[in-house]
Amino acid sequence: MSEHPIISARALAKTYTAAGREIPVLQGVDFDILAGTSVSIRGESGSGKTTLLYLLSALETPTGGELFWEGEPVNGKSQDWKAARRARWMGMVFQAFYLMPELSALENVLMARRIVGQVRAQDSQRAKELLERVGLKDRMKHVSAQLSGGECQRVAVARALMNRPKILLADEPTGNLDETTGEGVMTLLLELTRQEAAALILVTHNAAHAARTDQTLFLRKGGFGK
Amino acid sequence: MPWSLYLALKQLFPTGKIVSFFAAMSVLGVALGVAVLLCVSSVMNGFGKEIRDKLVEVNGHLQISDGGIMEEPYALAEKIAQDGEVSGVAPIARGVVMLQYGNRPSFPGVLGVGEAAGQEVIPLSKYVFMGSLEELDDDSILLSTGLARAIGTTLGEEVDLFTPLMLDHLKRDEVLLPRTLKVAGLFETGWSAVDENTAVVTLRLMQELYGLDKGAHKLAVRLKHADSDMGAAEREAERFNMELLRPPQTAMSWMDGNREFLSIILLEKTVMVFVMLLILVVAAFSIMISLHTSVVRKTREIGLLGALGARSWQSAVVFCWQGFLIGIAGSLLGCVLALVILKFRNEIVGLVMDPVTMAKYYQFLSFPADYVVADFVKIILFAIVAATLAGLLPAWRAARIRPSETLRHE
Ligand SMILES: Nc1ncnc2c1ncn2[C@@H]1O[C@H](COP(=O)(O)OP(=O)(O)OP(=O)(O)O)[C@@H](O)[C@H]1O
Ligand SMILES: [Mg+2]
Repeated sequence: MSEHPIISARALAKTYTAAGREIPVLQGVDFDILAGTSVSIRGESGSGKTTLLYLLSALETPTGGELFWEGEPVNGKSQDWKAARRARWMGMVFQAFYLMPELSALENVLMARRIVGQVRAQDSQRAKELLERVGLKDRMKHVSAQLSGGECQRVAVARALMNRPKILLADEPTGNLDETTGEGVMTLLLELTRQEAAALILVTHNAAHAARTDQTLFLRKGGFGK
Repeated sequence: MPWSLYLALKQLFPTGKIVSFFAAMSVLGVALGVAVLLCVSSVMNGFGKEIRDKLVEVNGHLQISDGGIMEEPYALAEKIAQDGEVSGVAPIARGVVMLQYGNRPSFPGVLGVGEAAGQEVIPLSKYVFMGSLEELDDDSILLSTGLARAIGTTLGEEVDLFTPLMLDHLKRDEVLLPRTLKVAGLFETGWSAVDENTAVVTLRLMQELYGLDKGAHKLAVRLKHADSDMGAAEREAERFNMELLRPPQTAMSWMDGNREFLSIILLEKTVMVFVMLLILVVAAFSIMISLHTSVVRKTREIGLLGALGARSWQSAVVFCWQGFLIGIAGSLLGCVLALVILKFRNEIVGLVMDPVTMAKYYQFLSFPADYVVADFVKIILFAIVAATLAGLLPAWRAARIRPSETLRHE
């Protein structure tokens, strides 16, 4: 394990400007996540949870503070550097599943690999194995229109894990699912990240889900209170 | 294979389907445009070639003159015939006469050709359809169909011919006696400029009528390797002027006398092709609109590609690829379609027009077609470029999609 936290943020801030008005969403967030651990983030709607995930994944640039990926400063790096790093090192799961409708489940999972490089035999092997582990062994050839919401989200989880990321960011992954299905997806997410030794940042409204992670943080008034 | 190409292919040929509706329609649109263009340009080329062939047959490839009456045409003809590129030389004389049948006069151009040698250069027998060329002697004449119709005569009748030379006799108060000639045959070349108003006699008769003695006006030369290739005759004319002829002798290619006419044919083709190009432009526009709709519809998926680590230009290239692939597929299909249509062109035209009517208006019994590789290449390139350009605007739009904005809300 590296001595650095997988992701650490110092005094991270984000202020949106919309219609000439400044909306301070995050004001000085300090955050660390160690390799292989899981953190859940809770908070009211509009408290800035999604915004924080986008800052941590460098999909958005902070208006203040610093961000480190395994000790390496991210601020000021090129978009290409961030994109390449994100592709190999980070996995993301969203509330909606965003599967490519013209690809089968297997092809969707492999898409994560294609963006990084050529698909080798062992990559197809891994994709199949992941789909097997999320319980979709018999559905690999099906397109998203032929899968249920829960099944789609499981494909998305497999896709996020395809490149053996060191960290997985999940933004309300069960938000669109009923309780039982959501429970199943959450169990998979937690188990798989543990098996893969990946860290997990989970944004959720569900207290029960949050309780299953190593640590729970509350986002309020633009930062993590006690 | 870059993943952008993979995804483009998948969007055109999605898993579980043979082909997407959008891809099928777009390819068909391009194919139709390409097919129409290829057909039009091939048929226009065919007409052009037919006309050029006729021009060559009526004029020979080269015409050599010395600015006035050639005193010793056969001597020069023999010298020219020695040249390796020459397949035939014939002295000819041309002039305008007055022709009368009953009380109906006409003023045709008349061509005098030496019989045997003339055949190799100007293959008249091909066009004689009533009577025959063999019967042409110093007391007979061949008339073009249009001319025969104009003065109301036909095969076997006798016509009176007056020449400008006879005017001299008139000045001297001599009696004006026309030359009476028997119509030995009727011919039709299919080229109306000739068919409306031309008569053919032997060179000997022409010499007599025009007081040329043993002379002629010009030498018509047929070349071995020129056919109706526009450049070859020009080059040979140049070479003749440099190497074989002495001023005032000059060689002119068959094109020199028909430049205006040739440029009209070319202009006609250019205009037709240009108008038909618009079909491809319209096809490209509809591809652009469809791709653009697809970008808007797929905003979230494109955003997700960004979250997966795709550069924004890579997501954009997916749409350029789609335009390009549609262009390629459409061109190929269009080529096949055009070749099939052109192969059965006469059957297809026969469905709407009977050949006799067509011959009446177009002077061709069957539709000509000439496949020019350069035209095929140009049209296909245009189609591919247009289809690829159609992907640019959607691609630009896709490149501006920011993952964080599109993924935020369900
Ligand atoms: N592009 C933007 N321009 C202006 N304001 C924005 C923009 N994006 C987000 N915001 C604002 O930032 C605040 C935080 O939004 P965010 O989506 O991070 O909340 P959240 O905690 O994820 O909420 P939820 O639980 O509903 O998903 C909101 O008040 C929102 O209006
Ligand atoms: Mg949110």
